[in-house]
Amino acid sequence: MKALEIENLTFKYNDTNKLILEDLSFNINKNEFITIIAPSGTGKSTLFRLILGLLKPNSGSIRVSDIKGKNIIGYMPQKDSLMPWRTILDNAAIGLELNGLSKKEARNKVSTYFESFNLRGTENLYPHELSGGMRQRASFLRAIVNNPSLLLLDEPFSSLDALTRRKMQTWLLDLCQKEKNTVFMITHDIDEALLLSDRILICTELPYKNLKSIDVTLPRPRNYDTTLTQDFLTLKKQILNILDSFENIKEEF
Amino acid sequence: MTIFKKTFLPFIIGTSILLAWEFLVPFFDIPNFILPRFSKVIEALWNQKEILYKHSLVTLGEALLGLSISVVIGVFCAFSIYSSKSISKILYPIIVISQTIPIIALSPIMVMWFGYSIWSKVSVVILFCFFPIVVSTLDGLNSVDKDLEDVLKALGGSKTQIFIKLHMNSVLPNFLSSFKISATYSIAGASIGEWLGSDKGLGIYVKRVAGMLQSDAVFAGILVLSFLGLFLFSIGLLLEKILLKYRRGIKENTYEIKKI
Repeated sequence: MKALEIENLTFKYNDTNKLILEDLSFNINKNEFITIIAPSGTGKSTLFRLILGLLKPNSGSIRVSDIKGKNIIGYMPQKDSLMPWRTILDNAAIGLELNGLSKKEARNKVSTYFESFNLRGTENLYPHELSGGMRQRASFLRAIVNNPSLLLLDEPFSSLDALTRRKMQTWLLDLCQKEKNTVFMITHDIDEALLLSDRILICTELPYKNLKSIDVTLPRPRNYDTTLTQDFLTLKKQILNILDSFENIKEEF
Repeated sequence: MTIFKKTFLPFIIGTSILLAWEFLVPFFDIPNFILPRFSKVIEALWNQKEILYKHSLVTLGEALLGLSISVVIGVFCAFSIYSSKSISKILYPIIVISQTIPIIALSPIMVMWFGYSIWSKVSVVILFCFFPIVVSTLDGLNSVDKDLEDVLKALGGSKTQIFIKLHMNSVLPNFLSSFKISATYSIAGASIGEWLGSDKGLGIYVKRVAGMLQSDAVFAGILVLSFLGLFLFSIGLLLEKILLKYRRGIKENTYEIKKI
């Protein structure tokens, strides 16, 4: 079953002539973890904004299946973007509040997640009192409490230091291996992509047209040692080669 | 910071200024009508306390009424400018131009329109006060976290919900700092309005006693005016304390992260 179907999507911003996406098609299956790797400034975030419905495509269609209500997509931006005036509990509960739950119901429901998100004890603190990693987990929790059929993660760990990032990657890996979610993530980090994903999409031409899809065949359950195996390195080399050839194209572009 | 620096130092400096005022005036032989001694001012304040009280109520009333109306108009203008490009194109220039005209020059017109009623003074106060509120609130609206807006939209928030839960909250710090500015302006506006046409209020009181060269009473009036300004300003501070509780700790120590 498909969680996201994108067909012949074309998009350009009104004030420019440069196409960002041209006739782009791809699918994401239910419970799949997909990562997209592309150089920065080429329009990955535009793609996300299109999926979120914040931008209208010039042509083509985007279908997010499983449409029961209006809330179906969980979105986690690059920055944690928590509301500084709300406690962590209320920040995480906002999605439920927006969908008609009372403040109290929303709080009760959300607080059950705090244990598994390593956030216990932070319920009544404000975002500025938390570390970067904790804030990212809170932001992730906010995206996930509505039980979305699709989770969009826009370089979720790029603002963290290397050590915290590693911890967060393993944490997300464990979480996604326990509970099946459909995730679509943007990243620059090839290791992160390989560690977490079932499939990696690589942009090989601009504007986005055909994405190269690579199946990450590494066995599950994975852990951080997976990044040291031969299979992992072979896949990494393969991706690096694709990206290198793309760099050449980009210079001509 | 030690308690000494926090409380004692300002106290000592303040007292020394007042003492200098008290003793340097006779020392340099400054005549009473130029600068009265501080004790004379206090004396005048005490002697005229009933009259001053009566007048200050009038001025405070005008300022408060004008300030409240300015808040309503200012916030409404900021929100309409933010929400619609065409309203912004029409309204924003008018608002800015209204501030390039010296308000003192406009005030006689207010007296011509509203006569000696309270509204001529209130309208001057509004002219003084609403501009900082519009500009600052609008800045706040324009700097709302766009990512956060996207997150809330993705979570299924309607326009109204996002406006209430996101915009109204993010705009509060900006609004309150402009409120503090306007609060002090409002007293200035009210007394200028009174100068131009009134028989009550501290502005007209100060003008009258100045005409009689009672400079100690002038200073007493000014003292009360500045006290009123402080009072309105502290309402702003109090609102900040209540509404921006979460900010406690942000300013003092950004890097202190609670250990869980």
